Amino acid sequence: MAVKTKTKPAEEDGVRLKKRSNFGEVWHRLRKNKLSMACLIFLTVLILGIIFSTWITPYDYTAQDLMSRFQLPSAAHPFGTDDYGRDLLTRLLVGGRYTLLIAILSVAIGIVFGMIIGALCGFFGKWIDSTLMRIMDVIMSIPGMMLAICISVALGSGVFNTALALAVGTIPMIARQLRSSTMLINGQEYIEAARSFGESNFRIIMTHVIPNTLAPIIVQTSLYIGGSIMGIAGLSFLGLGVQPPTPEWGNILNNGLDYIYDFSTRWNVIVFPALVIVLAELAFNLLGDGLRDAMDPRMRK
Amino acid sequence: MSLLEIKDLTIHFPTEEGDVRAVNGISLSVEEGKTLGLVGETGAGKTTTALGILRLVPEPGEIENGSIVYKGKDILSMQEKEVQDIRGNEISMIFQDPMTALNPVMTVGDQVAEVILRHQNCSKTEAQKRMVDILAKVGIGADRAGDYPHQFSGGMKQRVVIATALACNPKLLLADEPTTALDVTIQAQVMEMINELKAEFQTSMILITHDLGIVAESCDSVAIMYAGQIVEYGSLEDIFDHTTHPYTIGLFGSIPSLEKKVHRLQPISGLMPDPVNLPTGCCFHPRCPYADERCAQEAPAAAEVSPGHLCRCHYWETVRGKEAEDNV
Amino acid sequence: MLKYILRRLLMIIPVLLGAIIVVFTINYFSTTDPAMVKLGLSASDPVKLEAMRETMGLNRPYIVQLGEYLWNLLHGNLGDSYVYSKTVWELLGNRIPNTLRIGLGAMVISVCVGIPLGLVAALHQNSALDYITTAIAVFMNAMPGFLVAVLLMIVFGLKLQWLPTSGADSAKSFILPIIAAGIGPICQDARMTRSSVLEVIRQDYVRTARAKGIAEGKVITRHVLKNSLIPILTMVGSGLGTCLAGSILVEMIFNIPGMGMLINSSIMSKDFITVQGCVVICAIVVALANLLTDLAYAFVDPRIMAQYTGGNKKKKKAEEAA
Repeated sequence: MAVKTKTKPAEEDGVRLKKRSNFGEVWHRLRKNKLSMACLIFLTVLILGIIFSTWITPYDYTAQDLMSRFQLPSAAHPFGTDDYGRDLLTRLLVGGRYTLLIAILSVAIGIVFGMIIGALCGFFGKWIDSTLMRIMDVIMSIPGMMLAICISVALGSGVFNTALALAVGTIPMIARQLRSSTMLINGQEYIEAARSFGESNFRIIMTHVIPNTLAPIIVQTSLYIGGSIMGIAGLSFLGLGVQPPTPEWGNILNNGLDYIYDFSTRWNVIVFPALVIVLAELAFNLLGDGLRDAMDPRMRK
Repeated sequence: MSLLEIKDLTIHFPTEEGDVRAVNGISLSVEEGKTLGLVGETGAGKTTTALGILRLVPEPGEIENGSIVYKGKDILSMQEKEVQDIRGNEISMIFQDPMTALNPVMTVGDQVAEVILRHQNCSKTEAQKRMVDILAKVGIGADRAGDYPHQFSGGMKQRVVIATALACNPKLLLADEPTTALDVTIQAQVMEMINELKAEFQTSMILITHDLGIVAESCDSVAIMYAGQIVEYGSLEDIFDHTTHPYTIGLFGSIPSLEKKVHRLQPISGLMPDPVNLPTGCCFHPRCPYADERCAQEAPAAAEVSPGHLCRCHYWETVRGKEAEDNV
Repeated sequence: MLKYILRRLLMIIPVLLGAIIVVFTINYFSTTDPAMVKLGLSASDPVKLEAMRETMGLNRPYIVQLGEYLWNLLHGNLGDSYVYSKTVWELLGNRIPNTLRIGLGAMVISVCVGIPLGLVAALHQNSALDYITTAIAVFMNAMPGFLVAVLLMIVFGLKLQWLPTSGADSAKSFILPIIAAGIGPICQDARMTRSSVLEVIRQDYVRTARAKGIAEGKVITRHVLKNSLIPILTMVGSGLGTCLAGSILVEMIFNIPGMGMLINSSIMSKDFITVQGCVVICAIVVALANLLTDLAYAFVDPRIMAQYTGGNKKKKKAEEAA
């Protein structure tokens, strides 16, 4: 190990960095990771399917057909039908829009607020830092799921409200991370240099601090989205989140769980929604792990 | 017979990017009570060689070839248990960075006592007593034995590391850049202490360093390492007064000297080669001012300049002549 | 040591207070009017509604209501249910043990199973065992706890009929819920332990220990384990929160009368003060767990203690010098 770490970076990375940009470098390493690439392909297919669902299945996601309730998978209904005779594949594809929208929105809210708070703390320090960080500590002391339940209850259902409920718990994590990396960057000489040119704090934050701390946060987006999908499913399970008849993976699954005692004959209403949720989350998690490894090759074996 | 005799030691690290050839067939020997200086740039394979002697080359490194004969027995063919009995007892090592070499959640006293208990076959109270003695030898009071490493300064930590290494009165000490991580003012103190203790215990030593000043003060013989090979090997006089290899000349050229008048320092141009893609022929040829076609194709064998003074260079005679001229 | 414990105890008070204020504030700005919930069908009468708002004290300023809530909480009073003519504590009190049983049980199995699994995987890095453990951990980690509960219920409860699927009548009834709530934390602990051990095993001081001639087994128990425990402890401490949340979701599947069932029914009946009470209780339990974690830290890592007893040490030094 001693030899490897001491001698290699000097030569090789120096040469490589000239050829490729930072992003290209990460992409190059990521492409070698077969598992991550499989996840990326799966997610791409899933998202395309969700976007173009109307061209994929002929059914309307609200169209009830009480004559064909609880059908098991067939050529006409690849995933079967649910308790109102609605095509399950259609509902899952359309439901994906809401689930992913909430997940992405919640992560976006978390990142924006987490970044602002983290950057303020790391850059200004002193009382701003200690006040905001104490508030973050307080939020972190409440279990994430409990906080989401609490906010969800107060705000009521809906896409944005659910996203907000899930986002609040992630803000402190992102803020903490950004704070420490901002502090690291703040000590660097180029920030001193920028200050000596008389650049304003706001400009320094926007042009130097944020871009340099963004990369690790972006990488974690994937992991946070995975976590959000799990959170949404949990909220739906408790009867919070997006309410039926609007389809959403969590409430489709929750609806299916009503028939758990008839599992042997109506398994499709539980298995397919569960599978979609688990696979999507798994793919986001594994992609996130792969990205993290690609960003920081030292983490690899 | 020498205390330690290394022949053709080769250590490689197979990685995804290719084989990292850290140590490529080195041979050297250490005489009883003497000090061998192992000199070279960072990444030349010095530390790996030392770890190889203790069979502690980290994953995924493998000792591919060679023999390390200690007191007539090859360490490389011993059972793991036998090697463990030797480590810390007969052969012990002082590590480069005292900041990380000590377990942060164990008192320094316990860490020193641990090695005594392991090898000395004595009671706990006896081990405690010996631990206090050895700590006193390196200048640490008994009252500090119950403290944790974070309560010590760098220099003090290195003293603890040295105490651990010397606790069982080893025959051979592997000192891996023992002063590099320390302040300049502390460096001299620590080096002096090592030399005193070494004399007191009659210990042989392999001193790994890139500081030629330290070599001049403490070593009896010197091996110059470059890209996993020993390029020049001989007594202290051979190396310092009859320098033969272009790389060694380069090393001397990059340190300031009070005696010789030079207009400016001459650093060796270029960088250490990547151990995955070592140059063909002589590893030093891309940076060597004397290199020609032959050097790029044919690896030089070790030529005997004078008895015991070896040099891996096709043109050592030319180089020598040139140097002699320059020095006149 | 005593001083350290006292300091840590004092430090959780502001955090806990903050957490309760946050929860209260979220609920205060709720879009649902508690008076309307309390009145139920007769809420359409604006006079009655206003009178109810007055008697419930909802027209008083935020700060007064917050003060009252905190004051009552200090006396163990979590407020009155909007829906039932009972206090929240009456609804909640006898349900806490069930939830704690599952939550703590899940935490215990996560520690007893997850940490050894992670350790074994790390010590056999890149072996088949390591790959299988890691793959399972990654996969199970992506499963929401309630889904695991469903799976366990289908397999062990419905198909094999080994274990009861509903109720909290016997110790047996808790086996499946504890496993379901514990699976996620087991996987997290296993992964954390693996990476922590791998990180420590590369450290210089482990190499030093080997260079001392210590046998590999002792190197692991004496030098690697204690050091890798430091990040694992954090994980275990914060894991109780996950376990409690897991319990809340799992209870509903297995029909166990705990806080989860109460939260669910309170959400349905819009009895939000009860939900608030549950969250506050969880926050208190988690704060206490974090306190215990920090105390455990101090035992494992002497550097942490030094931060708090530093003043003492300086004094000692000064005395010595004098």
